[in-house]
Amino acid sequence: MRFTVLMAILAFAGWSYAAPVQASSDGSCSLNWKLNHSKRTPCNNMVFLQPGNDTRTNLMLLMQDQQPSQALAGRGNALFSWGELGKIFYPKPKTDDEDFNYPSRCQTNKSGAAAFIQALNQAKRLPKTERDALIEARQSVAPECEDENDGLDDLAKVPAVGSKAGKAFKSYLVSALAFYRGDFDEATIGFSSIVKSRPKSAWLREAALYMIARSELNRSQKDAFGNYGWFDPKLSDKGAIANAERGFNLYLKQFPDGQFADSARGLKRRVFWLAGDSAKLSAEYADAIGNSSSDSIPKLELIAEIDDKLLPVLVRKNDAGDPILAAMTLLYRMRGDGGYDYLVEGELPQLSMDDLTAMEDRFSDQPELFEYLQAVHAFYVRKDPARVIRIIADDARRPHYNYLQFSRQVLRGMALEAVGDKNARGFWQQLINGANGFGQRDVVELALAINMERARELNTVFTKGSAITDQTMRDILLLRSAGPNLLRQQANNQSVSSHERQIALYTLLFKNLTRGRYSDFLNAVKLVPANAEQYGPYYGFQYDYDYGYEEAAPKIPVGMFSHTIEYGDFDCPQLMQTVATLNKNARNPRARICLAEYLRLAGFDGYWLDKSSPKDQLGGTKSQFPGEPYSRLETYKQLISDRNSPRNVRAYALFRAIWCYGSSGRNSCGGKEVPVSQRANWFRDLKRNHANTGWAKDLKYYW
Amino acid sequence: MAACGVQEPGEERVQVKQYDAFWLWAGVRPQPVLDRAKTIYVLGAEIRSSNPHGLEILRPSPPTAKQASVWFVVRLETLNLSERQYEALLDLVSRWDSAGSGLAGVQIDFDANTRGLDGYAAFLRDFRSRLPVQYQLGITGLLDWSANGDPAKLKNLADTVDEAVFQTYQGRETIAGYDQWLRNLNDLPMPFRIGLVQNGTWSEPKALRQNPNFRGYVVFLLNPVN
Repeated sequence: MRFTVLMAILAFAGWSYAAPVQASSDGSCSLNWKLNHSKRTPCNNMVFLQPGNDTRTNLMLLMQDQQPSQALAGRGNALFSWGELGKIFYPKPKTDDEDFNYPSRCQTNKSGAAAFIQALNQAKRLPKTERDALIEARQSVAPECEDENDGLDDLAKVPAVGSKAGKAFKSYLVSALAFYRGDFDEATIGFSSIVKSRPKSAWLREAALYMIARSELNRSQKDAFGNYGWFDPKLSDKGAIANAERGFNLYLKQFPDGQFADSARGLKRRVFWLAGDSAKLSAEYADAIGNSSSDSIPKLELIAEIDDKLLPVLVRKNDAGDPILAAMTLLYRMRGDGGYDYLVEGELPQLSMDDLTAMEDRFSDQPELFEYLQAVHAFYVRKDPARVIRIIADDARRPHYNYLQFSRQVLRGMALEAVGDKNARGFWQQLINGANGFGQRDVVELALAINMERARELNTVFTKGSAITDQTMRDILLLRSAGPNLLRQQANNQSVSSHERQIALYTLLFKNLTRGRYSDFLNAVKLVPANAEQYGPYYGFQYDYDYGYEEAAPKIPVGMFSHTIEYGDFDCPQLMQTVATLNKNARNPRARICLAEYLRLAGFDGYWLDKSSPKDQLGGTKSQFPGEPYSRLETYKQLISDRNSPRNVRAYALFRAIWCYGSSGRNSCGGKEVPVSQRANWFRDLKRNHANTGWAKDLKYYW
Repeated sequence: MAACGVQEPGEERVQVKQYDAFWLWAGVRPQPVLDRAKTIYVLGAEIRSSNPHGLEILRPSPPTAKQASVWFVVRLETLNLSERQYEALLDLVSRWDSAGSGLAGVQIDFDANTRGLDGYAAFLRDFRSRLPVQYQLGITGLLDWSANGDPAKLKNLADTVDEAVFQTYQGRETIAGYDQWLRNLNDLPMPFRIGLVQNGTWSEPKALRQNPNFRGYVVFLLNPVN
């Protein structure tokens, strides 16, 4: 029977709803390319235990270490969302036959009916006519739990019976109908009387006992719902909760391997949750996660349930006896300012060293885990990396790491970096050799890439046989940090992927063009293949999104620079000709306005490659490409005041400079802002001195 | 927890009593202000990429508030929904519709990035065709759409949805520099609201009121810190 699994997870309103995967609809899945995450963000989980991971990620990593024989190896992503890791650690078998049930007590109707009918068929001393009538009655009811008193009419379908066995089954059916229509007082009384009457059917004895507890559990929460679909455990009926706990205990004592045993155990967690009994609740969860053979509840759902139901209790009162649950909670409590989720109620003071020490006894079997938590406290809370180095010994030469061992070494490496230890790179280079657990190498590659960038040794990243193999990390360094020589080298490098060559070429072309390196641009543009993508600009790795299906990687639009698609309002030649003119004379007014026109139409205003990355992330050092970002506004200002500008160039520069602020009053052209009075002067200048141009005639406002 | 960031002069904290539209997320206790709200966006379900057939129900029972327009919000982690998921989702929508005094619409919360706006627009067109016509269709939006999004792609979205609500916060705090982002909304071709976070900092940019597409605010409610 499939009865039990579903019930344990879903059967009851009030329990059966989950918490959202991301705490709130709070911004994008942007990736922060660094190791130190002290606050939770949706997509910046890493495979080492740290406060900024989703608690579910930390829990999964700790649980993986419990089963060393099933450890996974291989490459992952340095940064991910917890759900992505969940799919890898606990892949879901493909099943299509699963019916979706709206979670309510009624979803067990189908399986309940089947079991009831089976029991009827096995019952002795039950006249055939009564058996058939009871089966027909049971089959004809399909409660949906949608409206109150839904199913009251069904009572009329219950047949008259005369035999003793028939009366017992009838009594069960009447009680079950009461249960489904929400009359729990009636249901509890009915099921209790069946148990007391000691019916001959073993199934009836077992099912009725179980149903008493289930009915009491439902009764306890009847009045705990509010107008907005909010369920408040505090409003539940404590007497009924206690009855339910006693009921499930009694059932499990009499039927430890009974057909409802898994369900009863799952429902006991709900009882403890309703009762606010965090110690018992964590003991149940600890048992469930430690019990590798139990498939009564899928691990991934268990992890989500722990996060929903246990964490909110544990963050207030960390009385989990289990070291894994205690560690999960302590890591959460070491998040940085404002790192707690929006649903935490009330103030949570920062975790002190004393708080941590008070928990030491939970970790008597796992001293390395406790030592690690102390090191996390030193690093993330006390900001004392030197202490981390003293707490955690160098162990970077192992052939293999579980996630705790790996976490310890990564934190040591981060501490070495934080104190400026010269051997940090050597440490990472050793660690990477043994970092073969799933996703581990990706973490160390990021650490090494950041280290090399900080040392301004980008060439090392791009030498043959380099340890940095992650393509996104290599892209970031090329797009953000690389100078012209390295870009030229990689644009021509036949031993790397065509993607990487194109990224290097694109960056080289864009930066040469906007930093006045016209001769270099003309050389580089020869590398653009004839069939190159022309639609751009490129936004690349800025976002990483999982649509649920494979999306073709965006093409690198190097063709934007070799083909001009639009010519704009000024009679401009092809970009290449404009650049050739500038190469001879960088001050040529017509070519300058045409370059601005190209950049405007191509969509390079405010382009992300001209903005800097946060300093603590990969790509956050000052670019090694000489020159400053281009500004159309500055070009226009110069052309307006330059006496050598031809009249139509000057008129168009005025028109475009005014438009830099249109129509929102916001400058979209970069450069130094000008006041409204200046824009007004430009407007009058255009209208007065260039009145016969189409631009002067077109322009009705300034902004 | 230091809820008090540095406050700029002229900025104020978002006081719920000054607003009439709210987001009620899962795990957030309803506040009295909801009883006089005009519009409530209630998170009801989520489709997770880790569960290809499931729909996670995020509220134990549908809201029954009758004084306000209620929107059913669904968070999507993936756009690759199975027929079964569509069916479950629309079934839930109709349950909500019959629980209160009728549902105003369905709001989709999906972190589409700028590059992905095309795929999102196609998804929304399909979703709209499945959604019974009496419901409005809304989306949550990210501030960076307006800065980095291709205007033609945004127009595609605008043709499909009735409104977008742009989020100006992350976690419990307003995103720094929101005013820069918001200025870009002037060119956005769809009716929109601005999502604020309860007690977040906020000062209304002057141009916002003049924008003919601006439809007001939605405040994301938080559980109290004290």
